[in-house]
Amino acid sequence: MMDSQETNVGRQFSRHEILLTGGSGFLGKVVLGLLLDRFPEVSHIHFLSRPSRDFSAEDRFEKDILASPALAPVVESHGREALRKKITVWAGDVSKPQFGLSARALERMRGRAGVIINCAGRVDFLPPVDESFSSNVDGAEHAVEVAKWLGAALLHVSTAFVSGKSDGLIEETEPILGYYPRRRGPNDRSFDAQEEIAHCREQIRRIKESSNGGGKSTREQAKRLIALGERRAEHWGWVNTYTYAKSLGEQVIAAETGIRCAIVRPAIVESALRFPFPGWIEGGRTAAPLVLMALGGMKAWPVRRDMPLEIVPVDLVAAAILTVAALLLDGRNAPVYHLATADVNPIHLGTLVRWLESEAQKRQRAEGGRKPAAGWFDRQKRVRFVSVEQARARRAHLARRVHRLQSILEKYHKASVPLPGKKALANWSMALRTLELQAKFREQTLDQYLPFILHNRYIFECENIRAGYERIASGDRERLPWDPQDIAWKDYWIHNQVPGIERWVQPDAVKEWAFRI
Amino acid sequence: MAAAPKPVATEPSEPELLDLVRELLRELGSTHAAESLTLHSSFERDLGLGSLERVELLVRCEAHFQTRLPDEVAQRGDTPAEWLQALIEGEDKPEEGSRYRIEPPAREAPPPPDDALTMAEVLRRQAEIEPDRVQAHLLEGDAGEAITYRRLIETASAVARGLAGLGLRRDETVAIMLPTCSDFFYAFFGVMLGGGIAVPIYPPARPDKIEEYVRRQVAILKNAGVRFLISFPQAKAVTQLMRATLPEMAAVTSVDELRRLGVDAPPVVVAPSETAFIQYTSGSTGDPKGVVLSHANILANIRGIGWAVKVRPTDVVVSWLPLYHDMGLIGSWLFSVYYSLPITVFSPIAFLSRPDRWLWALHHSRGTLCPAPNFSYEMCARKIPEAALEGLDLSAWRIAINAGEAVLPETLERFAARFAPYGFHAESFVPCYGLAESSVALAFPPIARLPQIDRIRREMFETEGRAIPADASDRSSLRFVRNGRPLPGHEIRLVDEQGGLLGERLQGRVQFRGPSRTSGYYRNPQATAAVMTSDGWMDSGDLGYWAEGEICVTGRFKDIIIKAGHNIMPQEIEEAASGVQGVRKGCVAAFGVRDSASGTERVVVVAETRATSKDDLGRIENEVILRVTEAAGLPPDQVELVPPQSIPKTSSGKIRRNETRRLYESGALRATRRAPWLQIARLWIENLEVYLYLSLRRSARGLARLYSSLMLSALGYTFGTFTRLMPGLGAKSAFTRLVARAVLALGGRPVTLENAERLSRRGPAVIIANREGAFDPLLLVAALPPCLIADTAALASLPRAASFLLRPLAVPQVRKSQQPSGGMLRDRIVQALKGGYRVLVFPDSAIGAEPVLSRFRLDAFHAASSAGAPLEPVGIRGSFRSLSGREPWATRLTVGEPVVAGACELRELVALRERVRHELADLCR
Repeated sequence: MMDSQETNVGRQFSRHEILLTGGSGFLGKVVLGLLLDRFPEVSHIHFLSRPSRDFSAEDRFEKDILASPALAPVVESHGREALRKKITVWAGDVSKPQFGLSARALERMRGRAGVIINCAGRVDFLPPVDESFSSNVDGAEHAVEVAKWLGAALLHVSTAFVSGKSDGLIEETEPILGYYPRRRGPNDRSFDAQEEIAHCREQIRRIKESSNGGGKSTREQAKRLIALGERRAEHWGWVNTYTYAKSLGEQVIAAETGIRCAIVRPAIVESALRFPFPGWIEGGRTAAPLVLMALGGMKAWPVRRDMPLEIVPVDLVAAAILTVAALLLDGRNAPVYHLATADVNPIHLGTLVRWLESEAQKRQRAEGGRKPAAGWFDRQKRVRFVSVEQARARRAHLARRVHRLQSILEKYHKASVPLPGKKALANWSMALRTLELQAKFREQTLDQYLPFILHNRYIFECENIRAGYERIASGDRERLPWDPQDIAWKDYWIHNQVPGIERWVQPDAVKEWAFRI
Repeated sequence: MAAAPKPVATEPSEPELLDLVRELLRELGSTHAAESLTLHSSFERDLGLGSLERVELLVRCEAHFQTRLPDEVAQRGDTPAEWLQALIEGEDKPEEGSRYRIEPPAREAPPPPDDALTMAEVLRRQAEIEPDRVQAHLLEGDAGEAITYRRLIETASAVARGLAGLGLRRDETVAIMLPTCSDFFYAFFGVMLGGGIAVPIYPPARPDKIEEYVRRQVAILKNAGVRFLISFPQAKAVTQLMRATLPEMAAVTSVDELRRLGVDAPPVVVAPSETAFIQYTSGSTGDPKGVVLSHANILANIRGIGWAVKVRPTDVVVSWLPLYHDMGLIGSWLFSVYYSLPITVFSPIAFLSRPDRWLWALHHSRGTLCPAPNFSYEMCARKIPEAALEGLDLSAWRIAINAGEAVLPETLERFAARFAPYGFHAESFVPCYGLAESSVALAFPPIARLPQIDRIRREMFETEGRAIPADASDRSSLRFVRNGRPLPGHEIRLVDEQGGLLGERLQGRVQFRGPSRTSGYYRNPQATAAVMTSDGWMDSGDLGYWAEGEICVTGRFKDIIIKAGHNIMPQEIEEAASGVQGVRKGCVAAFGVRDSASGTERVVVVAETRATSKDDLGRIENEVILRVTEAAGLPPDQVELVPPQSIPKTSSGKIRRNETRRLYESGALRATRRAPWLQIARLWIENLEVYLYLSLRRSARGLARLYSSLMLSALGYTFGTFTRLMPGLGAKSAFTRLVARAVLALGGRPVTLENAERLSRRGPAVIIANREGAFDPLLLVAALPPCLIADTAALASLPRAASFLLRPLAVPQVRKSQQPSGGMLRDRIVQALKGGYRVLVFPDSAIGAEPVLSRFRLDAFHAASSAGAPLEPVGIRGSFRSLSGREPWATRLTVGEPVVAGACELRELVALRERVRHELADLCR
């Protein structure tokens, strides 16, 4: 803080080239957009893109990235051609050794790329463990390898929830190596990431072998792999496979002494506060499902009212990542940066749920007082905070009633005599079916979120990023604002988050969920 | 089952039935009950007939009237009237198809979870792999119930949550007192999933043994320090009695109740080395000894058994063994859970009342694996009429484990001979050796081999302990069954009196070690030390010898009778005496009584008989003496003939020889038993004192709670309101401090402050404390000089009145214009420090966390260094959870060495935090 010189972010970026991975993700796009928008002086960006079966890396970049709304303001102000000159797209995949980059690509970047920003990662909470490993653990190993080869520094994006089960403040100064959530103190050395990775890989191998031999379906195998990840995570105290694998990845990087690196741990990344425009959001791995449930009229919430929801707008995260990248290039970074909001400006779940409820009611009224389909089931007018048990019992009750009604309708429908109103009844039957699926989906979704809204109270300490901001030039602070203390949450939720989710998330994600059910 | 051909049956009538009952009662020695017998006397309450006697009565009735009573009536009908009605209504003909059908599993068992570390993990994984697979078929008469893995884990999880709701903490013991029923399964895994330690105990079955029963269980529950008892609702009468003598027991509950009580609790994960359950040995000697078994022990044993029996994915387990004991619990049920084999389970009472039910269960479920003790094979070989076996097919039975008591060669031969026509192969017999201290199994012979019987010379064995093979023609030779080799990873050695290792064919004490071995007896270091050697071997208390690398177990060390240099096995005498006409099979106890006159032991034989006439008794006594002399080579010194049910037995039906000896020596063996109501009354009177004391204490505690909450509300709300009206933070803090002191003084919660001189006399300071209990903020405010509280979040855990009282002490908000960064905590503390106040800071982590794990925001450290104020750590020990309660009541606060903060550099602040944290950990040590 008291250093004599300040880091000039723009100058750092104009001197060094940047390799960006995971640029096609929700966060990666905003990082790329913000970088191009705020620092036209950036010397060059290497963009790692995974070719798909139908599209080459180059096509995917054109189709998914440049055409994305996230980059729309940049493309508009800078022009497509100018941007393309700044960016080289390389075909590659973080789960392959050396990111699957060609020798030519590596040679081109060697000595020039100053920092790798690794935003890649699989964010499903409970995927088959091998898939989570391939992007989050293997990815980290390969990032270290590439960083060494290129002589570049490594900025690794992890998640704040690597802290696992917890109650209260999470300190940034917690040592990375040997960390596991059930640790009993600084002298507890029972966890070794390398051993754990080896153990887990061995188990994966065994499961795959036994499935191949026994001719079991791939679905069965996936189930066992999902269970394996869940079990290992649970064993050490992580809340899901994602955070378990992310923490292992972090430990792989922290164990490597030969490179300069920084780990950035955002909390739940939510819709944009300002950039590219308020409310931009993408993908379902945010609090979006919760918002949709609230707007759908959910009344019984299994949440802890006094618990802060640790979320952070995506553009703040992107700004912080760029700041850390510049500090890293300048050699003035801290090892770990939490990016969260609750330590200065907490938003409590009780308050949040009530805001969402009143918003939902307002919308109902605006629609002309028409009740939603489930209205006659949900007699409760006000939201209630319930235990998981109560919520589950209610849902089971609802399911039973729906079943009974359905069976009655079915009998009526099958009656051989032509009875009046059959058509109307068929519509009812459909509505019931939808209702049933909805309830089931809600339960599944809520279960995945329980660690973050009920079981654990998280407050992430964000001292390092604040200290980091005091080390950069004041002009840069304005270009890359980090101001969680000034967020007006009510305004943000009602005017950014909710419309953002409705606009950008609902169509695609909901379709996907419906498909999954 | 095939119906018996019906010869001329006597029409059931009242006088005839009553005669049968009266006859039995007279034989049992209850002449008084026999005289007062009416059609409406209760079997249990008025006549003192327990389940086993009723089985006897049932057999006689059915033989007399040539009919079959429905199971429901036979087991539950409590008066002769009910029986008579059922007898008149006629035979119980189960309709074909009404019987519960045991569906064979659709698929073979998946591969076992080799890498699972705990039983809970095993269950979770089986439930994930195939949730709808049936784990157990629970038979009750002709009805039955299928329990799937999904149901098992879901209900067990609900039980676990219920226990969490009752306040079960990790590693607390939970007794399970349930008969064979589905609730037992749920309760057992529920306790495991909830992080508790299960203590399965024998459920009460017979009211007339209630006194002994209660005494035995109380000793166990006391030894286990049981916090909760899960039982069936009807057992509450007995459980209340037990509770009277067990003040530390928090609740008596049932599975249904627990399922309703559930709260949301995160799942508990235990290490493999942690205790899974405690198994009280049915061993009859002395105080109960609780064998502590860890998850690793159990899994090692189950894997060992699986290896030994070469388990197949198509295997099916059948068991009637009691679930609360090793062979039924680990050897059958947990084994089947681990290998996902379907198990058919029914109760021991069902087996005892109709032994053929066991064989039919094997038939219907195509059972392949079934463990049982020797006597049950004997029972089947002798007691089942041929007619009840029509159509029986035992050809699927590939592993018939015979263990749990001495395996008699004669039994194996008789059983094999009788059931060979029904498809039983003698090669299926697996006579093995095990004990509760080794989880369950220790040695197994190879499977698919005829039982190997070792014939040895009696004389050499009894005098020198040498097992020399004898000729087949030697009539006096001894026969022992070979029990095979130790399970993989386990070792057995035989030692002599001096602890020297013994070789082939020399009798010695069996010692063992290996992964299934218990770590010792629960809370009984003496008993543990008595059987453990310094190099990790454990004494089994059994005797045995090696025969070509296989162990032959010859008897229990403690039971051995030594007369004039001859070592005599009590089992042998007992077997001989059992053969006498008129003596009840298996109801003979032989033991040695030290006799100072002759300088050696006297051999005493106690035998139960139904005979009552003098002539019969004289004849039986003579015959017993004759047979024992033949078998053991010397006559018994005394033969004691007693009425049925006089000899005490363990829950699994083993003779309790030492207990019999004690009764014999005290002369109590012949004393007539008191009526059940008298026993209950005596217990009540004995417990009355305890009851009075407990109820007084309970009401006193209730009053104390009422008083403290009233007091806290009165002081907190009154003075809290008053404080809000006061001007200036200084006055507020000084005044609140006085009120807090008054609250603690009136609540009887003394607080001592150590090293108070280390606190700065005046002026600004930041006080940093750990967080042990909910009341910590109140304690600190009372004990320390006037101070403010940095973060009101710390008050959330206090009762409302207390938090209302302390809230005015919160460090005030910084005015908008002054805040550069949104009124952060740091700025507020700085402002308070600049005003010359002391500021109290608590960690933002779970209450009760280890001090070394408490988490502090850097704001306090930052503020202290920028205001130049010292940091004063205060360690809290022994703080309480409520104002009236039994937790620690004297709290000690220790002030540590003050730390003066230097520069505000982030790195230095972090180091400072680390230093203060360690200082706190030291203070709390």
